[in-house]
Amino acid sequence: MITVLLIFHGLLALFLIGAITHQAIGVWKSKPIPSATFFQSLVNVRGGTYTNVVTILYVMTAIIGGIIYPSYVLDVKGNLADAQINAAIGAFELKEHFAIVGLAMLPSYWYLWKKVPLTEQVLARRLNTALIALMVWTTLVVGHVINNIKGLI
Amino acid sequence: MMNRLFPLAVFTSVFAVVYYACFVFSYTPVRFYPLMGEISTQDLPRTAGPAMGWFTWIVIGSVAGLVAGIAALLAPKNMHERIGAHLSWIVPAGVVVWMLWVEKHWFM
Repeated sequence: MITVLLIFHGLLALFLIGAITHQAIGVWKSKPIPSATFFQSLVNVRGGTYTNVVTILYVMTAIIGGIIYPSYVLDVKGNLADAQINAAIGAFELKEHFAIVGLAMLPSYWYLWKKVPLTEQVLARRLNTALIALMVWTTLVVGHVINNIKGLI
Repeated sequence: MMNRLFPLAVFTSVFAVVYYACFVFSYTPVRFYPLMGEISTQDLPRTAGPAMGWFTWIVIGSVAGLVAGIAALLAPKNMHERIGAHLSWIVPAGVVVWMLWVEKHWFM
């Protein structure tokens, strides 16, 4: 059951990282540009359309992460300590903190995208989204690496 | 529009600071022992396995954030408009820097 949840957690995180990355890149566009290249198409996304998906995916990923977290404490953290892989333990601590602070940012993130006109509070929206994207990237990469390390020890 | 953003930003900020302060100062009045599946306010013996405080810190942070967010509804409107939007990222970004500073010992 835990393995199934871990895989589901990882898949949701992949969808989430795709959505928040699109939005975090697109929000920095300051003027209309053509979509002639891959990167221009990437930048040209309508950021606001990602907001609900990002919020729902983030909440679902965090809930499942919370369910499987005790298994990490019982089955993985001790092995990491025994193997003296302190950087991995520290990275996971950052992951757990980043994930939960990002979760707490979602109400204002959602409000900035959905209720404040897109022409207002532009810098706050950009930095709010960028910070959440940074947290999602960090948590996914750390989770992936820890999962790989667990397979090796 | 800013009237509701300010309380939300206050919630985010207070949650982040209180949550991480609980971790840094080891304020864990309630612990979860996953090996036993028990919640306890006492330190259980080593045979009970590792204790977890994460859920407790989330609850404490949430309560503090909610109280502060509700109190922020009463703040003067000019304060809402002046700092509301930027509070939503400045404080969490500061807490992230605090986290990196506190956790750096793992990487040295």
